[in-house]
Amino acid sequence: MGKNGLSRRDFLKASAAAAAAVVAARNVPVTSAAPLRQGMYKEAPMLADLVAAGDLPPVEQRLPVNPRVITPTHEVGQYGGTLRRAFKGLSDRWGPVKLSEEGAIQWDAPDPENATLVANYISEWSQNEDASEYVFTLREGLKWSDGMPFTTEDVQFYYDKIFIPQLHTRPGPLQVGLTGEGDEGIMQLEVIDELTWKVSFSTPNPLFVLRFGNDTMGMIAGPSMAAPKHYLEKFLGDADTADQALIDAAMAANGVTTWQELWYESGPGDARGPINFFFRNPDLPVINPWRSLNSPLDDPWVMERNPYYHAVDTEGNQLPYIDGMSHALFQETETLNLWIAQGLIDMQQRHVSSANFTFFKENEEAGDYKVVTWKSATTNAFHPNISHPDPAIRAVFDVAEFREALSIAINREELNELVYSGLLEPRQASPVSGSPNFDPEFETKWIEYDPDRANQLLDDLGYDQRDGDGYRLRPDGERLAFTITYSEALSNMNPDEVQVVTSYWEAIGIQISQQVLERSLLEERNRAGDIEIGVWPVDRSSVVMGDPRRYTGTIDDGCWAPNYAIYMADIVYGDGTTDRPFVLEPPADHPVRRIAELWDQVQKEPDEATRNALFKEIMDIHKEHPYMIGTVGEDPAPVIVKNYVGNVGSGFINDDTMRNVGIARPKQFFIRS
Amino acid sequence: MFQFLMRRSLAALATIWVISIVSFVIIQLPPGDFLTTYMANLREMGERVPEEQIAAMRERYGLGEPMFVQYYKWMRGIIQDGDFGRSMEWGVPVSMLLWDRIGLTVMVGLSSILFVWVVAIPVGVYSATHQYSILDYLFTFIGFLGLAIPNFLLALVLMWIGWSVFGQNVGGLYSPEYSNAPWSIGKFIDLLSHLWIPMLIVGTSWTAGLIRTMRANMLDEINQPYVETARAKGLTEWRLVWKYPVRVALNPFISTVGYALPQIVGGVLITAVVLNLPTIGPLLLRALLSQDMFMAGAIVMILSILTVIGTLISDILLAVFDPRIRLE
Amino acid sequence: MANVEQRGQKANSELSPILDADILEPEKEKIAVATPRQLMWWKFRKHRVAVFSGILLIIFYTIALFADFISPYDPNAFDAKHKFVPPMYVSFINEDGNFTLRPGVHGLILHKNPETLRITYEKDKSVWYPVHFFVRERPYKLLGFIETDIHLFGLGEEAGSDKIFVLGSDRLGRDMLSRIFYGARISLSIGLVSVFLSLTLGIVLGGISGYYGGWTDNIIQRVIEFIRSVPGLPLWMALSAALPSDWSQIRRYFGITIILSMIGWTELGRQVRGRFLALRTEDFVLSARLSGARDLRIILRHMVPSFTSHIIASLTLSVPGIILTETGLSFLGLGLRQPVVSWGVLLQEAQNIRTVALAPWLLLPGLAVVLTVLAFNFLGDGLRDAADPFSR
Repeated sequence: MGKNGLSRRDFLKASAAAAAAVVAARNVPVTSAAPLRQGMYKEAPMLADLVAAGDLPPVEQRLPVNPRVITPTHEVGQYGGTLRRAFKGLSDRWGPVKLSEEGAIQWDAPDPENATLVANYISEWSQNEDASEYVFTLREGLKWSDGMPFTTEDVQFYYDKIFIPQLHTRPGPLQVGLTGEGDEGIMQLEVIDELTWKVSFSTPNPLFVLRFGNDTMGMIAGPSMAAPKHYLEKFLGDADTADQALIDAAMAANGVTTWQELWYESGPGDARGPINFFFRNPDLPVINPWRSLNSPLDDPWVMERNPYYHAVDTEGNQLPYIDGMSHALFQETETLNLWIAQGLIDMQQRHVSSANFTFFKENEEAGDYKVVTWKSATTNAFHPNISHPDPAIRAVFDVAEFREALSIAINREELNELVYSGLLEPRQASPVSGSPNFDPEFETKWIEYDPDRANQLLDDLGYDQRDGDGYRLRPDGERLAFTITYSEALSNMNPDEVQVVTSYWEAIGIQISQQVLERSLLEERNRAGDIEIGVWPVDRSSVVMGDPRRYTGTIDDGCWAPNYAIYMADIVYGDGTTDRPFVLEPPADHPVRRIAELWDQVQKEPDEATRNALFKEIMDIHKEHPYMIGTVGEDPAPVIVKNYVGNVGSGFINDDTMRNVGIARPKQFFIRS
Repeated sequence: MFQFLMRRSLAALATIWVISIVSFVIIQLPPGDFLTTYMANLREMGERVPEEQIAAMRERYGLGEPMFVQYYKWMRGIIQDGDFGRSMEWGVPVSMLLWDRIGLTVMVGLSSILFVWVVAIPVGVYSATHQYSILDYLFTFIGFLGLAIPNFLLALVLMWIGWSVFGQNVGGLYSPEYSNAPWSIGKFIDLLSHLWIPMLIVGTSWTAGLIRTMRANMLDEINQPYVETARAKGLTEWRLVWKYPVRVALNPFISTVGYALPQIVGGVLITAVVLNLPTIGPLLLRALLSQDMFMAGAIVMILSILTVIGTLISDILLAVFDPRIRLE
Repeated sequence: MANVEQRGQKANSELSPILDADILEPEKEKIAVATPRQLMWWKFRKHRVAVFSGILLIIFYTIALFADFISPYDPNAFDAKHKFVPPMYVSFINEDGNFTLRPGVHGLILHKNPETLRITYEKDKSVWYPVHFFVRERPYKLLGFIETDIHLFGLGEEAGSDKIFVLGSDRLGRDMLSRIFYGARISLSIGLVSVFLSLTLGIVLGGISGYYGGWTDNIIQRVIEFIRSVPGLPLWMALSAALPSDWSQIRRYFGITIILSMIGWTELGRQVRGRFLALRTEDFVLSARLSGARDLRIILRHMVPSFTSHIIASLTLSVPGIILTETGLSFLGLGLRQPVVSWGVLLQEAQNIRTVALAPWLLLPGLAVVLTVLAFNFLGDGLRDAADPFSR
């Protein structure tokens, strides 16, 4: 671990700062720097032309009174240009979404060491003592991309027509606007004046801000908790404001037969309909830095700058710097790899795999780009299912010494060199360095390669008899044999790693067979909870409290104790029913019970220090005898950046909780002319 | 003849109907449905979808209903309104996505077939008449090389060479500036300049097969007594070969011409995926993998109908050329 | 004109050797009294490319059978110190620059570019490892029952951790030569089951269809039309979903190949039928029928041989098809995959841009497929010529 021991310490400091920022938000409103004087703002030449032609009001009238000021990562940028990127179509929305997302509260990091939640299109927020009420204030003069004012009417409209409180009868996993207490737990809205609104909960909901920071509550890419009333109300078929001609045209264009279907893809409240999802409706007013010009069914799908975007740089230049974005459609990742080498991609992180690191580096010159590395908050891990339906298998896996033997039988240094060209880092499945939950002791737990000790541990556990083929026998005479089940369709899945780990485990006398499943079959097995050893990335490990389901065991995508954890979450702490075909009551005093109890308390504890202490206890249970056997992690998450693209920082944590590329503030990326 | 046509057409309609049922069933055979995969993807990307929404979507697309009800509704839509259903993945009616892609698919398919025939028939004849000559061996070798290298790999290698040696971007069917542009002469020329790569790749794998079949059929014919007779009668070698054995040897092609288009669509599928062609192949692959069933169902139906029509045409052609068959 | 006459005469004399049997010399008399089988063998022997192809195939199958003896390394043994080694130059010039009868390889010095992490190797002229034959390492069971640890060749113990990679190594430092040898086992066995199965089905069902005609023909034709109209892709996915998921990979794949042959016979079936429709009114069929031959005998002994070329062509054409189908199936998550080694798996692993650009030797399994296919093809040609009653 020597190679970045120093920087680790820095990261720790940084994480303390990040945690502090969340605390600070409660009592001291986070406000932007003092507004710049009128006449000080500058704008993109393409907008200046429109202003000169009288098609657009001057920049001072377009910006809020107190625009958000963003300090450029490296330098003040230049205006213009189109950022060329690629995606796989409508269902692959996360690349463009995370680049242009606008939540009320956002993760923001001027540099990798200082990630905080900041006020974005709001000027400030505050919360009450027991964390059950939150007050938000809009930036004065904020406007939608069509120039119409953005007010609390839009918030009310969102609450009534998109959030639809009546719909929420049963809390889902980590829903932002719910506290998990049935009808009473639903967020209540109270509009105070044109700029201010308050949301309240019947019980403390201290994690609200944290969750709000990484979920736009249905409005994909934002704005969270608001929708353009002046535009959308025309499409409410049953309201006085309805414009039947517009509705008919929209229905025809999208091939739907009822006006309701314009509002959703799956069902009411999802805001992914053809009319209210900005991807699919170029006319929808947004507050994003760029708005859609055509549909993602077109190739390429293009976006253009929003002339009313609410932020400026330190010199008063209205952001974004880049005029537009274009996403070319590709089917197969190899095509994207070739495009990158050919220099057809200006900036891309999604679908760029570190497995091709050497290929990308070798072609840096030819493609006129550089490979910038970040740090993925993911550790690859094998998950022995300690809640397997077969009691004999549970009895083997639910023993710390056995898992320790599995863990130290893995030569992580060799694995890293062999499969990942040494790009990753040997580590236990634990929070990423730089996370407020980072714990060096946890990170290095059971990772020292020691096959002798592994053999000794297994001998001591009573697996010391071997059969003719050299495999260990269980005390009941059965061979110690397990199946690793995985799917190649998962992102982050490297089958080579499974081969290598299999050979390490075979070397200590455990027979391992591999089962590769097609994705939907894996889902089915996963829900049935009978996978013996699963292979899943332990992700979401930056600000773990924002989404701790990997550690509480309640995540749907594989886990270390699916049947126990879902039992605890649904039957004990939920409404007593479950939609899983199989759950299992954990034995008395099983740590899974304590973890579920702790998490329940964390979600309600308004006091920061107590909350953190409770949460630390969850992590400590894992640290004491890891359930998920991590191998290597902190993937460099390569970002392809053309040499003429500026202000793309490096070294950031790449994690969904902190919104991946969004944390590097794409609106201040620029293209050097 | 009319009776024969009627009989075959009716049989074709029945076949299409059976195919529509079977394809609807096989598309749904794999476990889970669109939502299983869709939700898994959303989850992997950190989006949280409440149970209510999943249930609502399942209801909206009728996924919970028995299969025959789903089939009935789907069929009714197609027959009454020509509505093939909605693509769940793309969120629009299937027909909005399919039509312009079908045009391009047929275009790529036809040009590939043309290329293959133009190359394979003369080469096959040459190989048969000059059996075991050096050129025969060379054609055989090249043909099999094309056959034995996966199309995907071939496409990848060609794309790589195209770029690293010639500095050409060879993927796709249009240059970026024409991608969203309306049809024009410039766009058409641009299309032609991109078409040769898929043509070549599909061609290489198909040409070998056709050369071998042509050569084999020719060899079966060329040693028949009637050829000797013709030769004895003093025909020139050229006329001797092209007038009789070639025509007979082409017979088996006629009986398979109906399959050519759908087969080429299937054959170019993986090529189309890596070359990033806007054809229906990649759409089908994706629909199948994500279990977007109306999308997959519509494509499978269209391909099946094309095949059945093709078979009908080739049967009619055979009947026209060979009176013995008509008498059956 | 004269030319044509000459040809005609020549053809005539060739066509009727039997008629003139009683006035032939001893040499020709031998031919005259030979059994058809002997005649075919003599004819086949003359076809040198076919003989060579036959030998090549025997070699391939021997390699497959004795893969564990011939392969220098375990095909799945990874080696972090030997990733992406290009094919080695096996030379007869030793470290002193002198010629030696015992071939050997030079040691390698690994360089890893700290920037791009690209691994390159430099020949270490000062280190020379002669190739040893019949080295003892890695115990295995020859042919599945003879326990031994002798391998055909290797560098022996003196090389330590250094290895010989005749065809290079892959991304995990696995020996490509050994992988290709082991891959032959699956690709040349269960891979081909479906080819022969669909051949049999095609000839029998196509034959029945064309021979009997009428409603039998009609039913079989509709079945063919139906099977062929359903695109393969969804069919594969559906059927493989129907196979039990607890089957081992190889068993699953075997199941899938059987399914493939159930689909694959239709093309040949239709072509065979076309030929039968034309042939069944021929005199020789009629006379066979009149002399009381059973229908199946007439189909297989009298009618099928008259278009062997076509059958052999379609047979050899489907061999690469089925090997490559594996790679296609992998696209859908249905094909074979590691740790199983087959040529399809090896090609599948090579289909990415970084291999094409940085490690092109990993495409070599494609050459193995091409060679096999060519060998099958030329062998088929030779057999056809030998069996064809009309050929020269």
